[in-house]
Amino acid sequence: MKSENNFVAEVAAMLRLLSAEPEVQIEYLEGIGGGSVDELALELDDLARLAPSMHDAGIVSLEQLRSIEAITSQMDSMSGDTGMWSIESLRSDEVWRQVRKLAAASLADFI
Amino acid sequence: MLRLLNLGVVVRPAIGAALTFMLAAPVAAEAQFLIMANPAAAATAGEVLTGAAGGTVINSRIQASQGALRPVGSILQSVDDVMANPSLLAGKSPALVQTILQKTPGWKVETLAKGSKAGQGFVFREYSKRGNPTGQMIRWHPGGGHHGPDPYWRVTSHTLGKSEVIR
Repeated sequence: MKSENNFVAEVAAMLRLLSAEPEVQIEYLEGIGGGSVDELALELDDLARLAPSMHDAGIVSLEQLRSIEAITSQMDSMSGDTGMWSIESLRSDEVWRQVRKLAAASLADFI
Repeated sequence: MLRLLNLGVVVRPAIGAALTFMLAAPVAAEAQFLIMANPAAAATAGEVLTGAAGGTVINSRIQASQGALRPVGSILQSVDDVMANPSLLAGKSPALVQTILQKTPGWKVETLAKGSKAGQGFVFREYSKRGNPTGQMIRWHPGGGHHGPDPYWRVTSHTLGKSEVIR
């Protein structure tokens, strides 16, 4: 099982990335070897799946759990062949600006 | 000098049998263990639950498979190999990897949950006995899309963390 302390730190790091400017996000994707923009959602999803059990263990508060759910719900609404998962979209699409706002708000709950 | 341990060990029920290993362990800390196992059986030493000599897990870095001894992560035969050495996935198709890994107890086959390829791809995720994800997973992304990347793998393990993209 993932370390509980690491979990909160990993969520905070993920939210920091999601709230960052597009060029920072693009640099991250290049840094991991050229992953799809999808990685921003898939990495969040990997952590979000652990959140309920972390909440049950008292590691994550209900408020933190809800804020993770809010941003994952936003990612769900964008998912599929929606044209929102390109580098171009990441740079200019309003929906990604909304993701950054949600992530920044959620990050405040984790630091 | 060798220290001999004769352990009656029980592996997880899915394997369906109790196996007895004769283990010869060099006293030197970095020495390799020798495992003489039933040639017809294959088991991961790290799955050992109990030992008649009071031992538990002997050495999770060694696997006995078809009677042969090899370091975990040297070839792609199990989830443990991937967790130890994610680069084993380079150049492998999802169909091949699924065939090798799909019957691993506690691991489930899924598809990508989010992004442009939601519902596609291949995710192999570990769950605890309570049904909660443990955080370990193996993921294949089909790539594609407008200026999208080539297909790739990523792995998250408790020991190595998140891998980079593997192709």
